[in-house]
Amino acid sequence: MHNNVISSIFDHLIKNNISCLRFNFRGVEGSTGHYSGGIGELSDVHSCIKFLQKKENRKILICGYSYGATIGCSAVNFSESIIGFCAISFPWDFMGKNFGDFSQTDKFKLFIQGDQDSIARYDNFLSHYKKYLKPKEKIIIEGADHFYRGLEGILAEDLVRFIKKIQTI
Amino acid sequence: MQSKLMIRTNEVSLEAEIFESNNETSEISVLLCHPHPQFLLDIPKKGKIRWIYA
Repeated sequence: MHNNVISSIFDHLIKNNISCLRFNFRGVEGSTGHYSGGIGELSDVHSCIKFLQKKENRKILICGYSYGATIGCSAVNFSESIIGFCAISFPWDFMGKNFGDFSQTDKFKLFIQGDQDSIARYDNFLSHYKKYLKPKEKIIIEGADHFYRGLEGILAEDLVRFIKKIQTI
Repeated sequence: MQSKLMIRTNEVSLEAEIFESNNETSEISVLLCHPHPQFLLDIPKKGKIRWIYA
């Protein structure tokens, strides 16, 4: 749980008094188990959703970064309590074949992408983005590569604005 | 309220951290999903970044 992007978002959500949960996938840091090729990790996301659902009437927005976007957003149709997702640097080019279709949904979607990203490649971003149903939004962060170093705060503020907007819909 | 916890499943225990808003009208909770070190290795202390993708 020591990634600069996720940590910045977590801090911004707390500052804005928005409930949030972050976790380590199985086999990472203090989580038990081993990497399982995505299937077990998707199950991890489902477990976290079930944990959040213990509080009645909770609406859940999934936010994933890089691998976390691929796996997290694949769980968007797991429950009606999930209202949508935010995908940051979704690595379609090398993980989309297996997981891209799972993230298709008519729920809210925000895609955040750096225009210097050569991993979740910016030059392919629009072609992937166009495949998604509405409602959807995209934010391109100029000068950002896959790591968003020094730009984490901008990204987190964009997400908070998105959350406040969909809260009113 | 912010706290650390373990989410136990049938298979594994997941290390987690939660913040619960004190705003009763705040309806949305955000589930944050990290990148995975199996695919991404960041070494900022050495001043460079190394990538491992399967």
